[in-house]
Amino acid sequence: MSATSPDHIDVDENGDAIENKPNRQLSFGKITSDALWTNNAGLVQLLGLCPLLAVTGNIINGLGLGIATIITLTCSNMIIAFTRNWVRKEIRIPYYVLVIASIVTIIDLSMNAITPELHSVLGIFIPLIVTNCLIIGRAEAFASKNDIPRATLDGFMMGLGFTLVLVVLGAIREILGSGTLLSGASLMFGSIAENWTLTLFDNYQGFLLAILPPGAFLVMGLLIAVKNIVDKRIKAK
Amino acid sequence: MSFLGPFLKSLVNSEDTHASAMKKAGISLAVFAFISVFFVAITDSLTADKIAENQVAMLLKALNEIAPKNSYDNDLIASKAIINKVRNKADSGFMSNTPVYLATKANQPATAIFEVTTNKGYSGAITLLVGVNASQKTVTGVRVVKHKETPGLGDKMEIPKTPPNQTPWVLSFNGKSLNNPELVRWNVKKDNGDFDQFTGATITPRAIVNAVKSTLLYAQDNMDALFALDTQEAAKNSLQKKETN
Repeated sequence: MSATSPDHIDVDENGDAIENKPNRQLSFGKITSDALWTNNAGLVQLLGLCPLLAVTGNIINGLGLGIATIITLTCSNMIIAFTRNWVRKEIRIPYYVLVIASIVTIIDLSMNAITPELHSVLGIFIPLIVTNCLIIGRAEAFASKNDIPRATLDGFMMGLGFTLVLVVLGAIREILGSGTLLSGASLMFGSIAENWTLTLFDNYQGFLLAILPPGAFLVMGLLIAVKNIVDKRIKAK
Repeated sequence: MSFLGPFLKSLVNSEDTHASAMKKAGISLAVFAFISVFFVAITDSLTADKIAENQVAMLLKALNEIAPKNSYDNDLIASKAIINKVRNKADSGFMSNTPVYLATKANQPATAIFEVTTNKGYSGAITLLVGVNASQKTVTGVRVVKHKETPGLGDKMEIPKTPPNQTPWVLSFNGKSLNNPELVRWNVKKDNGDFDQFTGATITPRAIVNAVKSTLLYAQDNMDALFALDTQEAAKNSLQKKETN
């Protein structure tokens, strides 16, 4: 939060006050690549591990939490960027909590009213979002210092990067744990998805460790290691 | 927002004395809290009716899977009774206040659907709907509606999560009664019973088999009383309606 003190306000060529203008406006491309790879929420910032590890037993659950996170993070970044000049720095953290909790409640209620089927699937993930420190982290680190379009894009892309990690983690755990892919897809996509479930091995007995929380930590560790190897390769070139 | 912006901005001043900074921070936070509560309250008032409507529709859909629409002609949601006292509460796994929906056709008892909650699951309570035919006391259907069992193992009892090419496990209860199989065989195979458990999960099926068994035991003794109560209530309600008319 770079609160400009009123006695030396920056003035642009028209004489209007420039408020809180960051020294370096990040390009949209840089925001996107940061969010999806360089500073990925799941693999690099390691934010939001609690919901990330808890629900990624299969792809569909991962996707569900991912979608709920994208919606919340985009809305919260947008609102926090919009109000960034009106918030004293002493109260910014309670303010973020207030905004995020309200958004989550509003999304929960609206989804419950408008799309009850989707809510019955995503509903269990929405309260988990409140425990996701990724959202407050982006509010503090990005949305409170940038304009609305950049903050909104950052929220969406960070959510998308998080979703990709959730889906990959869910896929690996589902294959190892139950030998299937996309089980329960019809819950989210309706009856067209009834035949989407792939059974990769017949009579697979299941690998319990992959489904339980320790398996989530192990697979997560492997994913981070793979990302580090790829980064090293790129650097060496 | 047009007047709020400048007002809130006037509260942002980093060179206040300590006391006035605290005061301004307090006012500012109170304003934000008020705005947030305002939006949440508006959303709540706009969605409350629709949410209640959706919940009734979803309950009805679940009930109709057990008692098809053509098998009854009363208002199933309205014919709800609450069972407070359950015999052998300790071993049945029942929790108190079990709702039961009574389906009747031409004022004759058809099906009683019990919303049973058992606390013998692997991780917390499992709520299931158990339909019992009123005259033959056979199971007309079992559906799990709420649970916290291990994803990928215990949750195979949900029909949409059954692996492809397999018959959903809960359908194996259809048509069963206390004579078929006999009472001692009302257990999972691991406990010398007749019901399959699924790979990697024994506790979940055991909890469900026992809950269904307890429901049947309860229904055997109390079915007539339940429906008698219901018709009494219905008569009373229609009487009250007449009086108010």
